[in-house]
Amino acid sequence: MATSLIRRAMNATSRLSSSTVNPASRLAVIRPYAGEADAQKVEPKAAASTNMKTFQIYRWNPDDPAKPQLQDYKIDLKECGPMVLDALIKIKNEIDPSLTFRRSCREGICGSCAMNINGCNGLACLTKIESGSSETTITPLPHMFVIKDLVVDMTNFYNQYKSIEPWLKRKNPPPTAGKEIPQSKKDRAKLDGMYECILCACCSTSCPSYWWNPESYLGPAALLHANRWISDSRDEYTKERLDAVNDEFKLYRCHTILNCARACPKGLNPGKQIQHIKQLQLTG
Amino acid sequence: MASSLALKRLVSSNILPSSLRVLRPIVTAPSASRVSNTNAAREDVFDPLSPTRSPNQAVNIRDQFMQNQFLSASRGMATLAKGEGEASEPKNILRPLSPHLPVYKPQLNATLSITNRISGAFLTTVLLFSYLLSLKMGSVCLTYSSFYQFFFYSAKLFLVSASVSALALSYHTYYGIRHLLMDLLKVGVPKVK
Repeated sequence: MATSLIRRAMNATSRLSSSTVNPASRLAVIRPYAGEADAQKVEPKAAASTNMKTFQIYRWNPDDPAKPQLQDYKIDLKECGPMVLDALIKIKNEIDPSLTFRRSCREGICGSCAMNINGCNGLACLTKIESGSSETTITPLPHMFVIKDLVVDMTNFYNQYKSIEPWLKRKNPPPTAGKEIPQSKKDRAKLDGMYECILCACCSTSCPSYWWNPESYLGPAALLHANRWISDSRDEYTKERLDAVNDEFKLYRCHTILNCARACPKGLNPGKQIQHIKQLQLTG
Repeated sequence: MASSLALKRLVSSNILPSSLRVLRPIVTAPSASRVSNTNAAREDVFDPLSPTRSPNQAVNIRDQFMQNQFLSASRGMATLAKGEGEASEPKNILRPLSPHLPVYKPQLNATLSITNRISGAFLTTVLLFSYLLSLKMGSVCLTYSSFYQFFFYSAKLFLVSASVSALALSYHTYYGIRHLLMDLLKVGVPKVK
């Protein structure tokens, strides 16, 4: 094979360099690897080498209610984007259009595609597909009612967020009427680590305490936002906010299991914020 | 959600049951797109009785379609919360709970936490019932001879249970100290992802 390549290269370069007699090109002819002509040839599809991966995805259809099942799908990773969401979309486009899941921004900012991938909660658009031939198991967020396939009922989660009154509450008008309430950089830095929350529910649904008491315990996400408003220097209802969560169930079902910090796809630490609230309850 | 509930009530009083069998929803309205996924395989059975219809009739049929879409969509989500269903609905779907314990990958921090709880429960039982055990063991052995036989030949049980209790006590104490350190001095908090 090498000799034929060399022969072809010699012929090609001799044809090309017939006009320009170049000592370098004459030297180039004796190269043991493919010459310019071979480089121009377009290689056909990567010969039969595919990288198949199996995805086991939780399926349940409300129109045809049976026991929920894990269904296998095989896709070629070489023709798929790197993230789990790419794989899901590929499956939906090419193999099974009835696969149902939430998605929107595909860049980890909207929080729609939160699901349980290989046992850990995360955003599908930010979770890379594991290389290797092991199967990837995708199930919906744990301990939530399933509407269909990977879509869960988030009503309770949103209601808990609403219940902590996530807006600015003041008793006095702003210091300069008609203008914004000034806040120092130090006070603004206190909100870092809390304002970035996208309410994807990865943390709350990873907390075993939230699994066993979903309606009475507020969950790490809602408590993180509660702390965000408690720590806001512009908000004047701090004491009332602290009293509102000072309940055996709403706040103190947290046993610092800290699964929430491990699960957060944005790298936040709800456990730390909950500890902050608990400390404020003690001192303030 | 509230609007679909209202539509449900409106529709259930209007639409005849026979029309449900004939008409199957087509995907047009965005709110009914959830239903379309499952009905993709089913063919559209809509067959007008006459090829030409007046615009009015066409609009009426389209409205019926829309209402049917909502009806079958609401049938699928007949339970807004688990178990809740309308009396007029033919099906009450109970939604399953997504898997939690069987599926979730065991984390180090969560395992340590639950072991703390288990050791605490074990120590409490030992503490509160050890007196009962030592007081009543004699009479139990006298009444149940087979138990006494087993107990006689398993003197090592004491050693085993003592070491298990010691293990539980030490683990519980260490976890308690770690908890205190984490709360007061912020030492040893597990790193976030």
